[in-house]
Amino acid sequence: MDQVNNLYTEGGIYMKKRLNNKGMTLVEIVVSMTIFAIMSIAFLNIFFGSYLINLRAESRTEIIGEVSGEMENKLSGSTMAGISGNATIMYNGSYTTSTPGMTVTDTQTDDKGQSVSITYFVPEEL
Amino acid sequence: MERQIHLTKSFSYINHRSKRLYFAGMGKYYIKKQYYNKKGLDGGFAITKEVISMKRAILNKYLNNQKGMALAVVVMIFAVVSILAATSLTISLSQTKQSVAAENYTEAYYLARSATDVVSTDIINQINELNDSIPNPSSSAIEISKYNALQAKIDSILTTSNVIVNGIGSNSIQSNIVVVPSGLKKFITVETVYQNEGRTGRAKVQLGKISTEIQTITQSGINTNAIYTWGNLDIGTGLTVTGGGEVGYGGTAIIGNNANINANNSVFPVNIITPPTLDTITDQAILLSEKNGGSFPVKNINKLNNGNYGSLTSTDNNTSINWNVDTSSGDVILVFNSLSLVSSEANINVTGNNDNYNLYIYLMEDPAKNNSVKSLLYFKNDFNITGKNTTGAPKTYIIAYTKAMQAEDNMGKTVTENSELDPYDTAYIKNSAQLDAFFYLPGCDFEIEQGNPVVTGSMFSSDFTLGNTAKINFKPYLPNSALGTQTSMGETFFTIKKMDIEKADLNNTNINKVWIK
Repeated sequence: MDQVNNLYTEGGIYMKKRLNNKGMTLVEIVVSMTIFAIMSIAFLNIFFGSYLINLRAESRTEIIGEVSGEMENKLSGSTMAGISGNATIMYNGSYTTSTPGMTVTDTQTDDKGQSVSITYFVPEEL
Repeated sequence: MERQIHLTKSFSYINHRSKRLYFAGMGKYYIKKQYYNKKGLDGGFAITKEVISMKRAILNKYLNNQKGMALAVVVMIFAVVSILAATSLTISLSQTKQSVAAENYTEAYYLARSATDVVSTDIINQINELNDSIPNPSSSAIEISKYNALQAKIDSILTTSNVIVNGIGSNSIQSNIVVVPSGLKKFITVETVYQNEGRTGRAKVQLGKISTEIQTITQSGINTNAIYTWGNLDIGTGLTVTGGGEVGYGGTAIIGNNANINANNSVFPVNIITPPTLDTITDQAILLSEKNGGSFPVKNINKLNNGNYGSLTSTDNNTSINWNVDTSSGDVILVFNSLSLVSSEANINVTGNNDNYNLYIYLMEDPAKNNSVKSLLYFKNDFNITGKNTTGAPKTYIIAYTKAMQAEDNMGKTVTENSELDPYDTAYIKNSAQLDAFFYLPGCDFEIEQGNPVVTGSMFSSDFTLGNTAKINFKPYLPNSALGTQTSMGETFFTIKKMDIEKADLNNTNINKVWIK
């Protein structure tokens, strides 16, 4: 009998739980959605920022390749534009010579305002 | 029993949890707790089917309990999203760093490559310049000395290890030259390592093999000439040349009868021989002698008397020169603005057992004198210069040139008959002078008048006039004399180190260097 009562009691509790119609209050929903929104904004910002950083890095990598390629084209070309000047060479601190040549600079800028510039002094073979 | 032991160990966790659940009153079943005292079963429960069933029921119930799951799920999602965000951010920042590093590397690489290019090109340029200035038999002493200086410079460069290059970018760049001998040739490698913001750019280039060859060059220009005039040649009725010397002239030649000479029209280089800077000596009594008892006392001259004596002029027969010049201890160098004597008696005797030391008489124009007084060298009648070395060559060198020649800046240049060089004055040697001397008078006319003068040596002048019969005992300048070493005159030999660079790429003759990855 006790066992039956116990089972009944247990079953009663169970049934009560099953029949509980309590829902979430508006405050709970608002609070949870606010938290969810804040967290979402924070994470979206992080992801979006990360995405932008990626784009910039990718763009920079691209213009590095472009500036290298352009410089190679200039160096291999028969005509190149640059600023004439001299490079000085000091051998072991004793002899100093001056080699005429041309300073060739190539600069590439992407649409994000990033700029990569490289310089090469092309000596003149006399 | 073994099965029980196994199960006991496998469910030890459940056992402990079930004990807690049991004592908390959550189960209605009685479980007789049974301890086994046997080894390995301490603390275990007796494993019966009921116990196992009960344990499973409790476990299922515990696991099916969904209370607090929302929090756990939220925490897990938050954690996962946080990890994803952190990872994404880390990757992005890493990519940014990589792109910045790539930029720095690119800059460093091109600067290193540029420095390597500059150094290797400079070496090639210098060797090319050296090859373009290889002396030839008619090269001047200045050209030869320039070549030797350039060669010494390249030698020094090729023993260099560290090179600093400036003018590329904003910083100094250090390159290294590595020289590896390979037989008679050298492998030259230029390498640069340049750091830019922590990134290292490297560039290396291999030059073609550089060879060095010793060459001996003989200057065979005027040394074959007993007389050379870059202007006109006028020889009287007879001229005898012995010793193999010929006569050369740059202008026109008038050669009288009975001259046993072979005169060639040709042009030879002319150099200015600059005397060393010496102290001015005003005491002319060191050199001039007053006639005493019918003769001129001998003045003993040696290198201690070297100096610039200005104009040494005597206008009477009682003053003249009678030198005994001792060259044993070194060259005796006497510089004059003019040397003019009217006395019939004048003697210079040169002695000295060292063939490398000679008497040099330089005649320089006196800038203070006007053009009406421009006599440089005037000897009369029986003027004698004696003294030979062990090879029979004169030990006296008389060198004169004009200020006009200097003003024309002909230093080291070839003077031709068409040049603007204006012969300045005439060097007169009259009558029966006996001269053991070399005369280098490229800016003067040279005139031997009348009689039977004998010159042992050779003569170089502007215009040359020889009266009647004269005799030239030709001797070339000595290589180690002022003329032999500073002019192309004289039978001089010199050696040079000729350097050459092979093409680095044998398939392309235009390539002097090959870049090494």
